[in-house]
Amino acid sequence: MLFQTPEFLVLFAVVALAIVFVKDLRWQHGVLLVASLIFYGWWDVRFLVLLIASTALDYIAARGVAGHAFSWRSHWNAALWLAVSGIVLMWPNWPLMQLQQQWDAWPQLLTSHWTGMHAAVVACLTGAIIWPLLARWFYTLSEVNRRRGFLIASMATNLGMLAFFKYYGFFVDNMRGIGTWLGYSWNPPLLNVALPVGISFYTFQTMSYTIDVYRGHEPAEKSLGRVALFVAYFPQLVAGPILRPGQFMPKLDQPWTLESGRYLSGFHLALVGLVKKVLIADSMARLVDILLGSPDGRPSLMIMLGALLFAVQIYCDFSGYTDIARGVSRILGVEIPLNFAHPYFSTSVVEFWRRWHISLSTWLRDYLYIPLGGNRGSTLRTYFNLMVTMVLGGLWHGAAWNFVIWGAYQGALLCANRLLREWIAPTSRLALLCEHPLGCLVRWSATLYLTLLGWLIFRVNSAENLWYAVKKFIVFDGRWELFGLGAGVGAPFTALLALLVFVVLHAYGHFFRRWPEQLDVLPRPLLFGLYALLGALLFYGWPTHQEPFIYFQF
Amino acid sequence: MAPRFVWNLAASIGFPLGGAAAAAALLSAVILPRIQLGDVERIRQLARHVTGEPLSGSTVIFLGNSITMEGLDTSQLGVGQPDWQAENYAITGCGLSEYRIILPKLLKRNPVCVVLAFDPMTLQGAADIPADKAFAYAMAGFVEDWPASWTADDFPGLDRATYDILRSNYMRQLLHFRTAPLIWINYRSRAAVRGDLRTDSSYEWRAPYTMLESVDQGRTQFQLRALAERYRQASPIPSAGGVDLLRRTCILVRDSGARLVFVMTPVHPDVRTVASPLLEGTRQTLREMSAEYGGVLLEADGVLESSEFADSVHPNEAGRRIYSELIGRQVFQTLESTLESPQSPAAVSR
Repeated sequence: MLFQTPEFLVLFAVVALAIVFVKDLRWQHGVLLVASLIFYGWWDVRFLVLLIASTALDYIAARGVAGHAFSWRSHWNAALWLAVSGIVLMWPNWPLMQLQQQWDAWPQLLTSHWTGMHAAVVACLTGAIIWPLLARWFYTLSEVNRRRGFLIASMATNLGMLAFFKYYGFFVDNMRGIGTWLGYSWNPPLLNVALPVGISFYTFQTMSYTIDVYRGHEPAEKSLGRVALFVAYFPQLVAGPILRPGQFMPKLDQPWTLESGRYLSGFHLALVGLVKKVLIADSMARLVDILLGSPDGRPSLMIMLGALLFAVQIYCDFSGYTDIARGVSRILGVEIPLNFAHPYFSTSVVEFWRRWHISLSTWLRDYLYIPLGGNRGSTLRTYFNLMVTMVLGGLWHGAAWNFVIWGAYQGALLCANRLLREWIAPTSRLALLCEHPLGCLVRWSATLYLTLLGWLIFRVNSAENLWYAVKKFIVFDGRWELFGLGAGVGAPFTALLALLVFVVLHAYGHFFRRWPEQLDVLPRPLLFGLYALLGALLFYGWPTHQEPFIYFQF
Repeated sequence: MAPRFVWNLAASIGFPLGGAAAAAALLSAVILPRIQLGDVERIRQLARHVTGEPLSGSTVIFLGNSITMEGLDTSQLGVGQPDWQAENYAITGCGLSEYRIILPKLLKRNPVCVVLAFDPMTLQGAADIPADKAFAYAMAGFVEDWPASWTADDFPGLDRATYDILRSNYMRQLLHFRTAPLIWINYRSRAAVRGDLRTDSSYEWRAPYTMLESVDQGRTQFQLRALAERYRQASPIPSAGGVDLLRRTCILVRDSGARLVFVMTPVHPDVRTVASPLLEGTRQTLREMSAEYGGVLLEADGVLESSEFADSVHPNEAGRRIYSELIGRQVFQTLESTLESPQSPAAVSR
């Protein structure tokens, strides 16, 4: 279910009414959980099984880490749930159903010869048997080993699910290629497994819950419902921001209410997000597809324009989604932390990563970079840790080589940034020059240029096209042609107009006051006039073809 | 709930909705009737142009895509033929499905002859009609002249969603064209930036060309490479759906009493070789259709030189003059001569 659809408005209205009229906390949680599951299941009801299985496993793991003993009955209930969910998930031959839009494929189940289905069912049944046995065994170990055992089992299961649903096809493709290159013929089945929406987000969120319990930062929740609501909380379920237990769990102890001031503030945040998504990001989508979808033969100027437009598109698309998520959540009373802080005004790559997708970069820092050793070891080890973190961060975005290259590129930039900081003494003339306004301008320009090059790698997903586009981006070919823009398709001038509007509004928001807060303090007559104006602009700008949020695919 | 909360809630929903409603009213009453939207406007103007009294004289109408639009100046057709007049109703991207959408309304004007243009790709099937154009046909009222019995099955190859658009109501059409102001900005800016375009040819039924200059060599070469690749990937055999659609169109024209003429439009010499299997397939099919439905085939695919093209597909001013004269001569000659032997195809030469 998308935020900008009528279905969502209905769902949200029902939730809001329930919050107003239902006073019991547990019932409020129940309504929110059901609404979250409907929100997620709207894409494909089978995805729900995976979400619930993931939640249940981490609930059990966290309880195990905390030392709570389960009865055999509880274990077998969980095992039964896992087995049933595995069968429901896998038996209907997922890929076939996905291709043929679900129910049409049911009659073919009996005649299907998809070998992967049998393997997957066996894997789920094995998991269902092994998990209770493992859990029993962990309780026979020392406390340290029991805690570690539950943590490892949780990580293995979460990462295993992520690996299967997100990376299996990528892995098999590459294995086949390597096999052919070495002269061997290896043909594991290509399953064409559908990617469950938001799996990367909620897997990281459930993992953070178990890890935080293991570290003693959070208590293990007694209620499965509370853990389920933490994982499935609908405003941020499919594209983040990735929440930590400490940011959400305390809210579950307080009653949910709707308040007038908070309502308007949340509405303004969501409105700004909607404007970013609909009027800016979607206005650029078609032109970006034309320029970077097939960059071959295009001059440097158009490749650069494509990279610039994509940078704005992905920012407005993702931060727009985040703003809507934060706004909706604020109305409900949960403050989701800021995920973007004007990243294109960064004057270094390190600063960029402190401002871009903050919930992911801090997650990677806290749960990957620091456990790897962070910057506590040798210089070489620090660079290694940085590279591993960023390559895995790149791979988190998708199963394709351009994401791996993008991650490695970002890692290399962070290493270079660190090297430069160590090389330039803080009191040297060069350091002082860097802090001068002119120096800041140079640093900002260089950071923006490197960021745009990064987005080019991110967006162009075929090897030949990527090489061509990067060459054209780095070495200007002197061709001042923009004839592709005159083709009449891609609405080039509205895209450029949206770019101009974005630059002005974004700069204003950065140097003065963030737009949602600006709206909060506007005098009422002006504010209501602005509502009407934005209503009219959204009417005219609402694209005839609705573009999905880019980060849904991750 | 506190009154203040209710007031805030009502304001946050009411004012944006009010703004959107005002925008819709403005769109319906002021914007759409006034602004020009390229192809969409041409479709709308065509409907207005052909609605009304039947033609009194002997009128030949030309249907085709942008090659016909750019390449045919009908004021040069009727030289020495004072009793005849010709009008060019070509629309950018117009293919077999669109011929079928348009023709019932056009045939009500009783033209003596309908000339259908074909490029190497026309018979590849019912090309998708962009939503903008489909809504424009619906809004212009072409659908109102369709025979009552027509259903989606009468448009083989046309996807169901497009058919539903063609049958859509005014509210749906209005909502679709809500982006008209943005499209208008795009068209106007494009015309301002590109000096080789004119955009006000929507009302022009004799010489509706828009390109005022030839594009540069680099761009033409880029287009030719893309075009060659497209031709290379296409099947040389016309699609069954395309042939079916053509057959239905032929029957429609024949039953109206109008003469039917097929024209194979000029192909750039640099891609003629790679297009030859497609051209052969098209030629063969059109010959069969001519024989079956009493039409005439004019093969003009090889009549222009490279220097007579404005880009990879469209004739320039010189090409337009040559092509128009040749087609005019052949159409009027064959119209008279084929009264006795309607099957004879004519190879157009300079």
